[in-house]
Amino acid sequence: MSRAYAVSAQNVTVTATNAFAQVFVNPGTTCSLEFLRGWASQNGSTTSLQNTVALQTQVTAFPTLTSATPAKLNLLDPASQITGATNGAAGTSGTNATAAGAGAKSAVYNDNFNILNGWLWVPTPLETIVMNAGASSGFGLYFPTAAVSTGGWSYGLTFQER
Amino acid sequence: MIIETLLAPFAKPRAEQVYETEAYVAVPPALIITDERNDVWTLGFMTAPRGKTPDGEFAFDVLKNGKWCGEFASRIERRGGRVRIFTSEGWRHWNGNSFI
Repeated sequence: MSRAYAVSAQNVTVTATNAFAQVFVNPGTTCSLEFLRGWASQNGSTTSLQNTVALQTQVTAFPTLTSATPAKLNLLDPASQITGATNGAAGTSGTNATAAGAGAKSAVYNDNFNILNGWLWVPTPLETIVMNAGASSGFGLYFPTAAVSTGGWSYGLTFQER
Repeated sequence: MIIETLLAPFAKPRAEQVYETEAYVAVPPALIITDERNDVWTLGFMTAPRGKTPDGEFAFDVLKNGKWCGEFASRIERRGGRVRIFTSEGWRHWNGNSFI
């Protein structure tokens, strides 16, 4: 699969009270993004607990993030058109939001999972989510309610540029 | 394999076993299955080549403790204490060494 990239974070601590984006990717003007996978897991707790998760779009104002540059899944590919940034602006990506941003969110996919087993979203080919180039909204993996355990989270999204 | 190492720390087992995944858990929507031997099963990032994908689904490399075990599947399940995968050839069960 060419021009596929991953935006992820490893072993991070999320804010106990947040309902923020954990991974956020905002398409630029040069290419559309087809989202192919999302995942989340933690190693901070060995207690069986349920956590919420959602794939959502968000319009401006965007969340405040830790900058995260997309990693190539195929090392021969060029660098992604998306660059790491902390403001969630068009053409950027980041993780582990510390401020939600005032922009309205629209849920695309809601789910819950046991934190011991983690969460993996792999759509069928007909269910992939495409954010078109020039879209006025970004796409992200969110914990809609506060995480039941805050430590040791790893999560990410993979997408293909089209 | 470089990609799995970078992106999938969850694919590796914990130093000591702290829990065992319940029966009837499937990947996806779970991310990992931890069996009674503390082996961790998950799907990797390598898309299956043509002919190795069940109709209508994506399939990926099956990782055991972060290493590819030679199979592509769209699902991993643990039922009756046995790990099984859904491949282009149907369900295959882990016998301790390989999928049959």
